[in-house]
Amino acid sequence: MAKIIDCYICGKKNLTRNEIGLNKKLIGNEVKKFHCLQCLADYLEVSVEELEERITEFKDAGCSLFE
Amino acid sequence: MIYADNAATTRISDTAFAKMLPFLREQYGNASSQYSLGVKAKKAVEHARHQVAIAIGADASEITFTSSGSEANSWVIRGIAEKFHNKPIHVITSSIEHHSVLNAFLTLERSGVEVTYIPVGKNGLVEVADIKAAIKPHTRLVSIMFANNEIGTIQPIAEVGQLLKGKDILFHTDAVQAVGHIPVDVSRLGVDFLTASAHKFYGAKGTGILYKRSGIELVPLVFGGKQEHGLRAGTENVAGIVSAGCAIEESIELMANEAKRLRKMVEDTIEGIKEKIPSVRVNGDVFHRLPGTVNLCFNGISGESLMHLLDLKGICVSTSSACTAGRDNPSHVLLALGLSEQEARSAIRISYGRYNTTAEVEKVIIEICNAYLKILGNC
Repeated sequence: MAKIIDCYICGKKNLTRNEIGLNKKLIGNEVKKFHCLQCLADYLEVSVEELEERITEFKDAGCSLFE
Repeated sequence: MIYADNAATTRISDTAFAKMLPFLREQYGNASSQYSLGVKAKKAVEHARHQVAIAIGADASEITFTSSGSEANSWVIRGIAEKFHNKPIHVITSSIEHHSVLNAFLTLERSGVEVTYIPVGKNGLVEVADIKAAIKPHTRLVSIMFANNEIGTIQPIAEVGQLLKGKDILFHTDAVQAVGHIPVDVSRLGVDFLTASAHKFYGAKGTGILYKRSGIELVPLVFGGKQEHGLRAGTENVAGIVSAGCAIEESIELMANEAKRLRKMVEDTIEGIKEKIPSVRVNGDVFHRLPGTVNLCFNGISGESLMHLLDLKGICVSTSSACTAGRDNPSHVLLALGLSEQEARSAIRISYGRYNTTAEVEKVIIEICNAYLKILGNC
């Protein structure tokens, strides 16, 4: 069973595969403090839409971090 | 957007673009056709051949146009092996070559050719003495890249040429990163084959260059018509070739000033990052390097992540590792320098070019430091 991960900042429960994958992709596989999409966007000073766009690009490229 | 990945490709220069355009529309003739439209296309191809030849100190008859630098590299390596078909031959290359060279040699190895891969030192340079020691009675080819695409180090090509002088060994250099950026003179280098690519020096993508010293035989790459001295049949990419000729001429003209400007940009980048991140490390030799290229290791983080965060800020740099299905494979070049897999995965390459400005360099420094701290703060 997949491990349940919550947002380190706002406490949002059970982050999605996309959110977990994006944290690993943008912060690194060793990421310890996971963020939900909104908190990650705030932290990186970009928009949620930009992050969503990247998720699509990474998945289209076959990145297994989002599986 | 700040494009700091000019070792990957460059934006075509305005002049090269303007020169190639007519050959896609008004002057679209086939260079093999005998009516005026074709004759003009042929003339343009030959003019570009002349421009390329002058730029590297060659004769126009020694220049063949290909579709890419990779094609030219593969052609030389496979062509030499084919020339000595069924004879036991030995070839020498370095461990940090571009994959178009390394994979060609791997293929030859599988078919029984003996290949020696010369290691490099921590500075990313081959030792001429190592090449000398590796030569065997049946060595027929030495292929050493001019400048490395990942770390920018410049190899002692003229010294290798001197070593091989008078020996029955052919010498090839992959000069894709060098031509148009640093002085390249085939007669001084003593090379038999030299390869280059137009899109690396502000020409259009799709045009490669092969210099083959006069008198040296190479099996044809493509059979058919008599294009490219009968060695590479197929209708010429006239527009691309025209852009190559124009771009190389322009690059040679701007080279001295550009080299100085780019070197300063790289120095400023290293200093600026080091102020905030003292642990940052430059990979490869500090002196023997391309003016605009620098490869940096960032301890404790993933270079791929850093590259993606910079991308989110509109900055294009490159990571040395190749991401395959979510796992980044460390660069063979950085591993050859003696870096650990973790260190190699922490690297990024910044390569400035003609269109970068000092203001962009400042922005690159700021964003790299910000991104580094953000990644580190979450690991």
